[in-house]
Amino acid sequence: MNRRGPIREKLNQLRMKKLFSLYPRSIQATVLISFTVVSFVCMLIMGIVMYLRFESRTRQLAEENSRKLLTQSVSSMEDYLRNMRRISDAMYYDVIKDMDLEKQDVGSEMSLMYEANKDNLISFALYKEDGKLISAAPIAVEKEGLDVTSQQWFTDAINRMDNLHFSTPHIQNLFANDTDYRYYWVISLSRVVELNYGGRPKQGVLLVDMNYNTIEHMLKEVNEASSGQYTYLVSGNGQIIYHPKSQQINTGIIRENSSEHALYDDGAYEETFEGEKRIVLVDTVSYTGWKLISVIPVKSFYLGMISTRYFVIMVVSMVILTMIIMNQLVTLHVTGPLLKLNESIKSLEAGNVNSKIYIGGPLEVEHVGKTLQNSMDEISRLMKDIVREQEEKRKSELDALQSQINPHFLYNTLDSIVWMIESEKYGDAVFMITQLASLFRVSLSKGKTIIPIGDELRHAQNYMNIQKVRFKNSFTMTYEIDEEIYDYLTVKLIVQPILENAIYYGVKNMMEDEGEIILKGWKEENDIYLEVSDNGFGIPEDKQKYLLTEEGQASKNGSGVGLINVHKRIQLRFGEQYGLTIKSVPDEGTTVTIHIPAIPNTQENRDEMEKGGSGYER
Amino acid sequence: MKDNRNTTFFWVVIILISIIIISVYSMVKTSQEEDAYNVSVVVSDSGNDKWTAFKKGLEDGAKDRNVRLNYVSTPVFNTLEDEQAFIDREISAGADAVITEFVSGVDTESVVNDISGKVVLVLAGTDADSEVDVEGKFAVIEPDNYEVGRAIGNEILLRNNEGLESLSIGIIAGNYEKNSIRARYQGLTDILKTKGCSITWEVKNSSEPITAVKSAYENKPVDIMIALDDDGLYIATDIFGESKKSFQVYGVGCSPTNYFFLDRGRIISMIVPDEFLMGYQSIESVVEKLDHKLIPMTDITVGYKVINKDNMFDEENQKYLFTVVQ
Repeated sequence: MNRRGPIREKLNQLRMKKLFSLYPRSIQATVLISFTVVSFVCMLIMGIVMYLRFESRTRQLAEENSRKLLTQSVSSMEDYLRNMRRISDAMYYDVIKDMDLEKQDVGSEMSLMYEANKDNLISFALYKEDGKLISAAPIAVEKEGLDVTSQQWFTDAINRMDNLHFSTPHIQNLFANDTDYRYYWVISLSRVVELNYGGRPKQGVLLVDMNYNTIEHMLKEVNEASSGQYTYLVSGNGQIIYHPKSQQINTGIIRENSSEHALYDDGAYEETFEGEKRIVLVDTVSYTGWKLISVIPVKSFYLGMISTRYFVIMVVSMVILTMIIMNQLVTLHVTGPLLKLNESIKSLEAGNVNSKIYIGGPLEVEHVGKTLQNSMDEISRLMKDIVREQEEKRKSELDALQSQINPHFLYNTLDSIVWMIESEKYGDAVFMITQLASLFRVSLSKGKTIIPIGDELRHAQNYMNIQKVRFKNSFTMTYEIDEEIYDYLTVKLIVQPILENAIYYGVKNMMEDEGEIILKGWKEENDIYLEVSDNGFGIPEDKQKYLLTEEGQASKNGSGVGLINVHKRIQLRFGEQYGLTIKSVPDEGTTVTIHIPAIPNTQENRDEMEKGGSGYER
Repeated sequence: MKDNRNTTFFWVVIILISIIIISVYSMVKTSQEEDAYNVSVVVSDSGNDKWTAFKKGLEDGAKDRNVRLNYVSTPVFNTLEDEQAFIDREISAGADAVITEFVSGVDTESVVNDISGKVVLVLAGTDADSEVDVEGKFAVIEPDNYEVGRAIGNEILLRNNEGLESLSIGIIAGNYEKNSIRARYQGLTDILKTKGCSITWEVKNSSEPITAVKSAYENKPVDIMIALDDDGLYIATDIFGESKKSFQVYGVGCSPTNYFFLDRGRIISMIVPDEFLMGYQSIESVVEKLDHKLIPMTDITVGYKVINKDNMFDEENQKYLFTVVQ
C-alpha cells in the first residue's frame, strides 16, 4: 500500500503540471479569458434565471387559465345538473305528489314537462316498485321482455331512497324505436317517489334520462380550446363519464389514470403517468360526486416554450459574442503596448543591437519602457568601456613582452661591438652598428605593433646578420621567401625570437660551418606561413610539449621570452586557429612554422588592427 | 501559443455564430404550423352506416395525429376499376396516403403495386392478392376473418347443440371476390362440417343480392340464415321481418341498424369486428410510414366481439358498439 504513495504523488504532480500548462501565461490571454468567463457565466446565469422565471410564469398562467376554465365548466355543469334536479323535483313535488294515480293520468303533465325541456332530455319515465311502467314521455313503446329492475339506475334509486342518483352514461335500454333505429347515450337521474293510489302510498321510481350529448358538447368545447391539455369528467368511483379520447381508452389504445384521480380532493397535483409528467387540476361537481379533471402535460408548456428557449439561446449567444469581441478589443488596447514592449525586448535578446525599446501606451508601460531603455544604454556603454579596457590591457601586455627582448640582446650586441673595436675591426663594428640601427628602427616602427611582413623579414635579417658576426659565421643562413608575401601585415617581432631559438638551441654548439638555418615564407590561399628550420640537435620529445605552454618560458640564453610569447601574441591578435607549430626530430633538426592570416597591407587594415581588431574579416 | 489562442478565438466565434443561426432558424421553423398529411379514405358506399365505427376511428386517429382526413363520398363500387378510379383521383389531388377496402381481392397485384408505388397504402378490412411485399410498402389491417367465420359457426353450434344436422342452412356470402368473405366462409364451413351440416343454399356475388336471397329463401326456406357481412345481415333481418316463418339469423355486422335488429331479436348473435380500432390503426400506420419512410409497414390484426341480445348493453359492449353519441 505504501508503495503506491509515491506513484500517486508523481501522478498528482503530473496532473498539476498539465493543469498549469493549460493555464494561460500571457497577459492578453489571461485578461481575455477572465473577462470572457466572467461575462459568459453572468450571461448564462441571467439567461437561465430569465428562462426559468419565464417558464414558471407561463406555467402559472397556464395553470391559472385551466383552473378558471375548470371552474367555469364545473359551474355550468352544476347549473345544468341543478336544472335537471329542478325538473325532477318539479315533476315529483308539483305533479306526481299531488296526483291520485288510480284516477288521474300523469302522462299529459309529463309530456308538457318534457316538451318544455326536451333540448336536454331524452325521456321521462315513472315506474312502479316492481318495474312496471306507469307513464313515459315522449310516449313510447316499452321493449318487449324488458326488466328495468335489474338496471343500474333503478337499483341505485331503490337501494338509497333519500337521494337523487346520477348514473354514468349508458345506452338507454327502455323503449323500442322502430322508426329510426337510434340509440341514445343518456345519464339517468333516478329517485324513489311516493305514489298515491287512492290514498294508499306506494313506492315508485321517477327516471329523468338526460341527453349525454349535452354534457359531451359542453366539455367538447372546453377541450377544443386547449392544445395538449384536456379536461375529462369522472364519477366518484373512477368511471369515466366524459373523456375527449374515451373511445381510444375503451379500445385500450391509451390509458387514463381515472381511478386515482377520482380519489383526489380539489386542487392541483403533479404526477407521472405512463412516463409522462403532468399537472392535474381537480374540481368536484356538486350533487353528483363527479370530478372534473383538467390534465396539463408538462410537455405542453415546453411546446409553447420552445421558441422562447431558442430566443433565449439566441440572445445569450449574441451577447456572449459581443462580449468576446468587446473583450478582445479592450484586451488589445490594454495589453497591446505591453506586447510591443515584450516584442522589442525579444528582438533585443535575439541580438539585434540596433533595435529600440518600445516607449508608449499607458503611463506605466511607458515608464517601464523608458527605464529599460536607459538601463540598456548604460549596459551598452559599460560593455564598450570593458572592451576598451581589455584592449588597452592587452596592448600594454604586448608592449611589455616586446620590451623584454631588447635589453638582453642589446647587451650582447654592444658587448660584441666593444669587442670588435677593441680588436680594431672597425668595418665589422660599423656593419654591426648599422644592422643594429636598422633592427631597432623596425623594432620601434613608430610605436606600431602591426607592420608589413617585408619589414618583419628585414628585421629578422638584421638580427641574423648581427648574430652571424657574433657567432663568427659558425652557421649558414638561407632565405627562401616568396616576394608576394612582403605586402601583407603581421604582428611585429615574431620571426626574430624563433631565429634566436634556432641559434641557441640548434646550431650554436655545432662544428663550424655545419649549422644551417633556413627561413621560408609563402602564401597558401588566405594564409601565410613563415617557416624556420635548423639542422641542430633537435628537441627531445618530452620537452616539445612544454614549448608552447607557460612551463616552456625563461630560457637562459634567449631574450627570455621563448616561443610561447610569439604563439600567444599571434593567437591574441588573430585567434586560436593561428600560431606556431613545432616539428622536431632529435639529432636531425627542428622546424617551427608561423601561421598567420593573409591581411593585405592597407591603411585601413593597419588602423583597424592597431585598434585591437583581428582584421581578417576584410 | 498566440496562434493557438487565435484559433480558439476563431472557433468560439464560429460556434457562437452557428448557434445564433440555428436558433433563429429553429425559431422561425417552430412558429410555422407543421404541415398535416393528407389521407384519403375510399370505401364502397361511404354513406352506409356500417362505416360508423370505422369512420369514428379514422376521425379520432386523424385528430390525434394531426392528419387532414378526406373521407371520400362514394357510391357502391361494383368493380375494382370503379374503386381504383376514385383512388387515382385522390392521388392526383395530392393525397399522401390512401386507406381503402378493395371490393375485390382477386388479381389485384398490379393495382396494389400501382397505388403503393405512389402513396402509402392501407388495405382495411380485407386482404387482397399482392406480390410479396418485402419493403412493407402497404399494410393490411383486418380482423382474423377465418376466425370470424369460425366464431359464427361456434355460435350456431352453441345454440343448436342437438339436431343441427336436421336444420337447413342458407348462407348469404355477399361479395365472394373479397378475400375477407372467402376466409370467413372457409372458417364457417370448417366448423359446420364438423357437425355434418348441409348447406341448403348460398348466395354469392349476386348483383341483386336482396332479390337473390329472397328467391332462394322462398324456394327453400331455411332454419338458419348466415350472413358473412353487414349488408347480408341486413338482408337477412329484412326477410326475417317479412317472413311468416321464423328462422335464426347469425352473421357478421357492424351497423347500428343491425344492432337494432339484434336488440329486437331478429338476429340471434352477431360477430362485430373492432371497426373503430381498424380505422384508428389505419391512420396510425399511415402516419408512422409517412414519418419514417424507411421503416416497413406491418400488417395488423384487430379483434372482434361476439354480441347477442343479452350482452349488447353490458357496460363494455355498449361502448364497443355505440361509438357515436347521438
